Amino acid sequence: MAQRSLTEPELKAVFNVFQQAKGFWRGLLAHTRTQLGLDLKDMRGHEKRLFELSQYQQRLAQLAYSVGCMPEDTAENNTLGLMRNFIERLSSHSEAPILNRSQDLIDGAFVQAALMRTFQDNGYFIFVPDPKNIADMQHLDMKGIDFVAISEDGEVLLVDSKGSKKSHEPYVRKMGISRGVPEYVFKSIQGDRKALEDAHAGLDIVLGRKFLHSVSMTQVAIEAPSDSKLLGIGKFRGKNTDDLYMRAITHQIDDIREYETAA
Amino acid sequence: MKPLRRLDPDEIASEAEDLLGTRIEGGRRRLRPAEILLTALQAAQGLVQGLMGMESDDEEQIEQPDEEGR
Repeated sequence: MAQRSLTEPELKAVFNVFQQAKGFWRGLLAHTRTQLGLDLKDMRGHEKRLFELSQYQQRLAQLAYSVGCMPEDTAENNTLGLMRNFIERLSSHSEAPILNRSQDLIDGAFVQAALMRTFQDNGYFIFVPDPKNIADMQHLDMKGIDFVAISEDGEVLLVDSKGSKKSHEPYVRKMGISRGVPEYVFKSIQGDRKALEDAHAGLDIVLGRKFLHSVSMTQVAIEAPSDSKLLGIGKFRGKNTDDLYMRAITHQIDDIREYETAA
Repeated sequence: MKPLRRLDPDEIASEAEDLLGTRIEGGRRRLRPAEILLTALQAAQGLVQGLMGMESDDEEQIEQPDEEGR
């Protein structure tokens, strides 16, 4: 290739690289360090750090969901995918906890994004904690609720999403609901009544209820595949995977509810 | 609690900048190979700098004297 000087756009791009490089990963690394501190039971400012970490991961999940909704060949998808592959490859060749935990953080957020998308594509109405709202984060995210899904029948699911490199399909576990959470969720949905323009049968049912005890609410933890062969940006890979996963999830949730009724 | 909604490209760019330290822009435009290469370089350089920065932060914390000057 003959040597030539860089064109102006190329120069600008190179300049941008050096200007931005210092900041790349900044947030992710800082929050991974927080996670590592918490792993090591470093309790200095424990609550505050846990809160900031939850806030960060929730925002990352909502970002991944939005990027996942864009066509696959967009710059946003490419860049986020590149970042994820990069850290995945590095962590597979390294024992450094910072890299492994960074990857866990990204995987967790991407699994949440993919699960929200799967539920939404299957007719559920999704609510998420507002990361800027302290009460939301304290009542939901920090109590193990990453998002709330309402079925077309008006069943409310409080979902804690978890990534697993080893699993090949979702696995659902029933969780206990913390005190005060059902009231908070019910009040939030009812309070949003005016802001909700989306027509949704299940949401209408919940909005039509006067009392909390007439709303069916279940909290579950869903462990879903986080291997990059199965998990893309904000969605699961493969034809009909969403349908298959959703069937597996609803089947297990039905079992949980049947068991509850029988008990 | 708020209904889940898709962020628009401007919101994505600013969230990415805030969360990951870089703006992800492009809207519905496909990245050119040169841009992919540049982003990869940027990612590599940023990660190394980030890790080195963390190491030096840790060293500073260890070396810092306590309130009584010890």
